[in-house]
Amino acid sequence: MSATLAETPVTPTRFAVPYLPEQAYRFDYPNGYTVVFVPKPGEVFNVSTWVKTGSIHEDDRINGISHFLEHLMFKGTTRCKPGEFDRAMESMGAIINAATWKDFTFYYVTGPNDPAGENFATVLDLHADMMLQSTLPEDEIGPQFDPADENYDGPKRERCVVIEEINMYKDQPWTKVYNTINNMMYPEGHPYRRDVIGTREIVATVPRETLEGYYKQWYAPATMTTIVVGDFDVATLEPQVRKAFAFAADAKASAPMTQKLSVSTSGGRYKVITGDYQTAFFIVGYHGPDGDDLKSTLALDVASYVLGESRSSRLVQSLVEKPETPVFNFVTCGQQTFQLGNVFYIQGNFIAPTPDEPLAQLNAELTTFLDTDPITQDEFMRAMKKLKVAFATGAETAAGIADDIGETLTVIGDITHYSGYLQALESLTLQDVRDAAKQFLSLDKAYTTVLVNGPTTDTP
Amino acid sequence: MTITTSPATLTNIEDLTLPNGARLVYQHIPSAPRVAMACYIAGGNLMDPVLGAIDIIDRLLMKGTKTRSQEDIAVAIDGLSLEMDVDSRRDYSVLGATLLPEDLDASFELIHDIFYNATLAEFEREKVKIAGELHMELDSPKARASDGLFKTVYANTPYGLTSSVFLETLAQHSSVDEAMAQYHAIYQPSRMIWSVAGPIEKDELVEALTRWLPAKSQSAAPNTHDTWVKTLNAYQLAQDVLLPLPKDDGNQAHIYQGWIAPPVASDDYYPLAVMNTLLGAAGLTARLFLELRDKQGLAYNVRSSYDAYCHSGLFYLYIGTEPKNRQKCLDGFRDECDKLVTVPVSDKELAETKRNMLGRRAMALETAGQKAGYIGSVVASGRPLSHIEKFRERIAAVTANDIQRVASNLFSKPSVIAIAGPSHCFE
Repeated sequence: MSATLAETPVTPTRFAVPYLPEQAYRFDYPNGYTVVFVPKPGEVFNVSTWVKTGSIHEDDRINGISHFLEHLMFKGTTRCKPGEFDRAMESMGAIINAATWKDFTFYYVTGPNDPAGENFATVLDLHADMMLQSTLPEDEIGPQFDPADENYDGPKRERCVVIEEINMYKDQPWTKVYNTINNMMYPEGHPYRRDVIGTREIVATVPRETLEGYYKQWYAPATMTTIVVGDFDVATLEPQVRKAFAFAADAKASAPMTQKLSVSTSGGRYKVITGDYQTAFFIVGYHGPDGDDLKSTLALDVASYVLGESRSSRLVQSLVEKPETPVFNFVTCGQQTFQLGNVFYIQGNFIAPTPDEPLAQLNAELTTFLDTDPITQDEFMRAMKKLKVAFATGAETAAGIADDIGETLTVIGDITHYSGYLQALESLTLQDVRDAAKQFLSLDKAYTTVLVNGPTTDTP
Repeated sequence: MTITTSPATLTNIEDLTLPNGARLVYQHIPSAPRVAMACYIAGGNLMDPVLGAIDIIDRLLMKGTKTRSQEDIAVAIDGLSLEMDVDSRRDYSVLGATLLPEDLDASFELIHDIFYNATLAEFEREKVKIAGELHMELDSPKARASDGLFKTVYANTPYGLTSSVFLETLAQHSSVDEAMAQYHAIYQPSRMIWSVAGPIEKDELVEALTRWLPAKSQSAAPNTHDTWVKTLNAYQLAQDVLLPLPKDDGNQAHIYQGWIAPPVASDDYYPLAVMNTLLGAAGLTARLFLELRDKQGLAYNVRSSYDAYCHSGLFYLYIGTEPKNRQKCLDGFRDECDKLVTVPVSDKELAETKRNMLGRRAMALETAGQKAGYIGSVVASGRPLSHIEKFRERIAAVTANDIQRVASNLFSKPSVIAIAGPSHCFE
């Protein structure tokens, strides 16, 4: 047991959680581990642990390892045989899951309160055990094999499950478009260029030792944050969490990637791919502001709403609703926040003989939006109200609150991006939004991928 | 007025009939940040003169009224940060709306406009847009397989209105006058059940519902409803069907297998719901997950579902797998279904399954929107509000014998298997 964690109380810092009556408590322990408690009245609790690694720390040799490891974390610990964690959780009605993305991997349990608090105690105990003591059993991983071998008839365990997940995503048209544009937007060697799920070849052959090494390298106090949301007394609960997350004294993670890499690329900005589809799918992508630039991020969120995220938005009205002869089936846009720089995207679907005319219409609307008819005061006010309501919606559930806080702390590191979100939004001006749109969304900065009907082309 | 008290997350549901004939089931939740409303309107596709008619009307409600253009409606909705949609589902149409309490009156004014004054003017253009969206949806092989299952099981009935069927019937919808007649016949307060949950006071809500939804003069309702009810209540599949849906550049075979099952008000609903959780809906501990994914590595996604409608139901299994594993998966389906018939569920597994179902209700009913939707769906399907408080005891009362019995009844019937994937997986 780590003396620095279990025995040394820490004074928490407090921060406001919009729409909740009580502030959250944040405990930053000497070993780097962080726990946030969010008291929320209700019948549901959520416990999640966020690990500051994902595809960002992979290379071509181990692409997909973060995600594969995520699967294997559910396959037993030094205390629990495979399946025991799942059974204990689901037999109380708890929902368990995990997800891997570019900057993080997170594991959560959402469960129902019971009067004696036994559900929560069980969840805390077993969730911590899973995070700290997973054994990654060889027979659960499955033997290495050649995924191109049509005649392979050996045991099929989790390697094959992940390969089927890869196959599932590859069957979705959006995966083809997204992976292609990702490949265009990031140069060779950039960690965001790779598909988070990895490749069949790596999943089929990565040795257990490599997986275990990655687990030990990244699952350590300084790269983990636990968020606990529910109806509880923090003074009683904090020592229990501290005891449950008793890291080994020598548990030490590698330093997470923080260096912003250049994203300039000569890979071209327009690509058409083909497949057996009756409609055409497209994504237009832009590099956005740094994830820790809250003002610019919010300004682009507002711009996104006005441009394409609402019924009255420019693109929905001009491309979907008003044309006499409908061509676009839908269009939307949005922004994703990443540690190494946000991405703004416009995506949609159309039916046309070639992509030329629909993309010309889209470009014309973007020019109007940026230059000849920029965002109006009315549009700005509507967007502001919508973003406030959307934030409130996220605060309605224990899982929603945990997700927002966990992602903020893990990707950005600055909790004021969450606790001060509404104030930051209020301080935006119409000019801020117009300026951000012009800065980041000009046509010469766009990358475009379109998937149209034709012989199937290989995609990344 | 009756007040029904429910345990856990659903308490003090008030049930009242308004002067305009609408029914209101209301739960006051002072702590909710927004008001959630679900208006269930009886009829759905069961009243379509041509299948899909009500779906076209749903779309056209937001596309123009006597005083507002489509864009005016869009600006009004966005200006209120109102989340609002209308969607028809077989037995009824549902207007879902989530709004800020201070916008109640403005929201109801807008709802009044679309319920009473829609012009349905963009009829032909909307059909073209619908066709485009349906083609987009069918570009997904999994969606194509699901489409194949439902349209084959419920062939030529409203419950079989899938994307591909709608594409076929679109051309038959040619009369705006017929659509207008259906619109006025269906969008009547007397056909509405309003399920509302949130911080709004009851009196304010009743006043708004009464003022903004006056009774309409009665229009002749399409007379297909009772005929379809009779057909669906007795509906059975005549024989097994295997439906191959080739898609040659697919990486997976998407396999659905489905059986006609009892409707939602059947006494067998409860044992079937427990069986469904046990077989494929529990999560990582469901039998299909453990056997076909965990042990055999055949899939990432495998599950069971029980869709219980007002007059019939569909119990179905799904797996996405490497095409060469098609038969292994179908064998796996058969083995697990046979086991349910021949081997009684152990006390331990049955108890865990029930705790799983009942524990999850807290998460399924966490928000005002979830509560409003669930309460509305209960009463709209003809069940009494007491179903909500009796749900726990009905689930608790399910025995291993009950599961064997319903499994035997279900799996002895013909089924439809729909598979979308590369041609070689049908060889």
